[in-house]
Amino acid sequence: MKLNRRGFISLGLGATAGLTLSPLPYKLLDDISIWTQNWPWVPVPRDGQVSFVNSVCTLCPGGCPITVRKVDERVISVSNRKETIDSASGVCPLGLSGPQLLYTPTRVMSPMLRSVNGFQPISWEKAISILVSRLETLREGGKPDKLAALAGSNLGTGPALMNRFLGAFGSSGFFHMPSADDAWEAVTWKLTGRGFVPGYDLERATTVLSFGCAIVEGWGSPLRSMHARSLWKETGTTLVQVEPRLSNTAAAADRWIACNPGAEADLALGMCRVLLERYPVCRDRLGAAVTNPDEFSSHLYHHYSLEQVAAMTGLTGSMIESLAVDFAASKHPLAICGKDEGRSPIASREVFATLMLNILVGRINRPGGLYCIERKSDSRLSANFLHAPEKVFAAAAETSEPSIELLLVAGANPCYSQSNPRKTVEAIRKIPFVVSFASHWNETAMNSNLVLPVHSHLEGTTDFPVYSGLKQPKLGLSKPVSKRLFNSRYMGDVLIETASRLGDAMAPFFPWGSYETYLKQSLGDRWQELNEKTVVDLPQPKIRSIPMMNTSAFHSLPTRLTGSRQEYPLTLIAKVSMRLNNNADASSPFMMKTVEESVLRKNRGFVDINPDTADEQNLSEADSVMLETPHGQATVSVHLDAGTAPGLLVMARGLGHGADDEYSGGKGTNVNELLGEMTDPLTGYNIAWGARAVLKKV
Amino acid sequence: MSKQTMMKKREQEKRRKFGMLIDLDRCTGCGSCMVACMSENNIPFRKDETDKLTSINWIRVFKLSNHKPFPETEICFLPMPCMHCQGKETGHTPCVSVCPVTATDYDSSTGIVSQIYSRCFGCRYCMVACPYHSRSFNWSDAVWPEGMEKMLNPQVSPRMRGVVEKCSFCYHRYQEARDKAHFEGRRNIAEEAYQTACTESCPAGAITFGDLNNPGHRIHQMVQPDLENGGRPKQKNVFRLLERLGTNPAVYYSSTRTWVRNMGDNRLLQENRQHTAAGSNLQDRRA
Repeated sequence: MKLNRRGFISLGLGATAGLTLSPLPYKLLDDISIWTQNWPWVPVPRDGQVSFVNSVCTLCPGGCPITVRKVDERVISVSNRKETIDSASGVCPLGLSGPQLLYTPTRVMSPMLRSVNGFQPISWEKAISILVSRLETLREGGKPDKLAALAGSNLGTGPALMNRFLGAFGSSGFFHMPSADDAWEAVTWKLTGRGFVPGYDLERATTVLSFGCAIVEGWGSPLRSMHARSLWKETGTTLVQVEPRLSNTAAAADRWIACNPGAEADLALGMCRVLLERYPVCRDRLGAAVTNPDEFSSHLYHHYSLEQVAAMTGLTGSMIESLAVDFAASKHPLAICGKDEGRSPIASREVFATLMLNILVGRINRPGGLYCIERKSDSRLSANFLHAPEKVFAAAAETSEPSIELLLVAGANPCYSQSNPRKTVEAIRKIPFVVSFASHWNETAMNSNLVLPVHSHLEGTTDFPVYSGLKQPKLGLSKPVSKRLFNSRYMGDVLIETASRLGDAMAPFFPWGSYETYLKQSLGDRWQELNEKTVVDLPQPKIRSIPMMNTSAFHSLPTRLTGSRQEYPLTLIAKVSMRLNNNADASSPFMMKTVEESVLRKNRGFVDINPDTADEQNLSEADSVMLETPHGQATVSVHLDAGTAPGLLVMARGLGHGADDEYSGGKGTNVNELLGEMTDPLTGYNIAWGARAVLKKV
Repeated sequence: MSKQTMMKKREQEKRRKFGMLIDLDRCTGCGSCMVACMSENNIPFRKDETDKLTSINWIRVFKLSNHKPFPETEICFLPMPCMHCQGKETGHTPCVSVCPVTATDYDSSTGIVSQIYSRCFGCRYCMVACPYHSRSFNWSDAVWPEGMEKMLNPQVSPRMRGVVEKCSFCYHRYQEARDKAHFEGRRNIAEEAYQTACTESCPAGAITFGDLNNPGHRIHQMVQPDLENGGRPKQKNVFRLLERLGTNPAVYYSSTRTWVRNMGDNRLLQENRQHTAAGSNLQDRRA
């Protein structure tokens, strides 16, 4: 058969039509997509037996109860525990990142010794021998007091064991990273002769006046605060947020008072004056609470008139007056303080003003009010403020002969989280030998001589006392959810073994075979209950009233920013977010992924600026600028934000980590480098809330 | 009500339609929903995730502003997963109707829009069609740092480069709850037995998830969907995004703030005024 042109075209058309109508092209497309996905590098997670383990999250001081889902031995995810009270629902982004923080390659995998070629892995035997040899040298040289230790907190058996180790060795150099509770304790101790920490009855309050507390951004025990705020929506509790910028908490509040930065205590004292002038019952309450009511009233009348407070806060007199009247008119008003997450030390003036406000409205140790929880810490304020890590490191850096020859660091990262981190790094490098107990590489570990790996928060058993503004403090017990992945140990086990190797002078003080034995003995009767529930109430004595106070010491405590207004016309403050880890370690890759592009783009951090201020500075969105403060400088981009007060710059905390982590290291700026240090005149703690600043276009 | 309408309604009631209500007055923008979703669904992460056009998220929290000057500024956070649109007629979902290989489909028995990775060949037509930008494309192979592949959830398959992915309302959790119910000889799935990861993780309790067709579920009571009117909410202050497109999404939002509700339908300023007036009249009538 001859194929002519017509036949050829007909055949072609017929074949095309047939092929189109057949399933072949669709089958081929389907197969191609399957073939192109069968590559060996796409992981196929293994299935297995699913189990759930209850524990407590120890990644922040909140101590929330969690349930961890496992498949065989692998940790998959973290969820909430609905049966417990304080975390009624949800988990914060940091808690949810638990599995990432467990498996991250930034874990310290074995003991590491710094040498000229960088860190080299060594055995535990060698690591402990080095530590013992250093300690023996100090002891033989008659310099046991040259041993110091820095812990993340002074709560729980870990820090207690370290303190005991130093005491047995003959050193009094145990200190810890100070918290907001430490500031409360110091202030109330000065006022009454007894130390109290605050227990806020958030759930039963009818009006909450918050002086800059980031209630929905990680304040106190984060989930408890967020849950309280959700509860307020149902109960009709009014949240009044005093803050210079429209934070997420200010946005979630019923009323936002845009007060000048750093003027929160002035506003509180101004309100105290209004209350004393208007209500005789407030004067009676003052008389019942303080030994010098006339002196206090006179101080307010001279320095806190409505005009004076209006000038300090940037608010109008009528607004201040109405704020005070509305607050007093509420059934259960409660004033709370502690900027940002409320974890770093609060200015003593702010603590004092908040306490006085609660006293004047009669809310001390009352439902919906401020409960004073007595805490008897060993650490009292020392002379020259040498209980504050900043002061200790400054002293170590300044003297020609080192005041510390051997430093142990555990649960803290002062090279990142302290003010002036660069100075801290310089001071740490001057110390002849630094030993860091760390589960992850961080800035302090990178600057240490010996890094000893400890278990991560999902690998070990440890007790975890939680105060964090709870009316009823808790004691949590974290469980070993995962088997140990690397060559890590408990810090306590290292201290016990070191003590036993140091001989008879030390060994009798550490009679336990292991840290877990010590923990079990320390918890006594509560061990069994904690093992079952993982969270129990900490026993507290009932305090009916706090002792009479003398307020004289608090009448002149100015804490003003350094630097001239002409040279630095703007003010820099920090903001917190639950999407970034503001504790010792860096954020997880998941958390970094949630960071908004108005906070970080590529490796460049942003500062928020009011559009009008940006106009004055001739700046547009995403312009690069050099941000300078009296303490440091950084290249950043600007983000125009109408919620930021004119003249204010706002930078996110939790960025600018320097450790060798590709997911969070080298991204943005560590705001602590720019804020510098501001020493509280009463407690000695760093209370830097801001810094004067200037922007220069680059 | 005609017989036909009654039959249609009864038929619809037999089916489940899972949906979500997000209370924007409660949402604090903390980001827990995003992290929980990433952890549950094996969402990959890269060293630099600041380019949000290429960053893969199944739920993304947007920040809205009323654009007023300081200090009258207000902000609101809006979490946005896949809307699981039903369309005007069942199955006429914007993305489903354009997919050339049926890699995405509307499941009438659950109201969930699926995504079948092994069928997707990455034409991204669905991404163009989706009015909510809820879909993400894998521009490169996901790489888990050494050791971190241990935390992958075996119930969700990791994707490879060249495919589109999106929120599945944690469908594997539905399968698990359904299997458990079958095993126990039940047909119904209890409300608490099937909850998405974002719902469980929200510390503010802003997300409610359940069967919109089940009067016993909280979401049904909180939304009161009008089945004869494309699922429009009868409840005051509840709205859906881009309602006027008629996509019939299964994700509802609620806010007491008018400017937030107006922003939900992307109205022009003039339209806002008219809508606000009309809306307040309507709400007065309901009251």
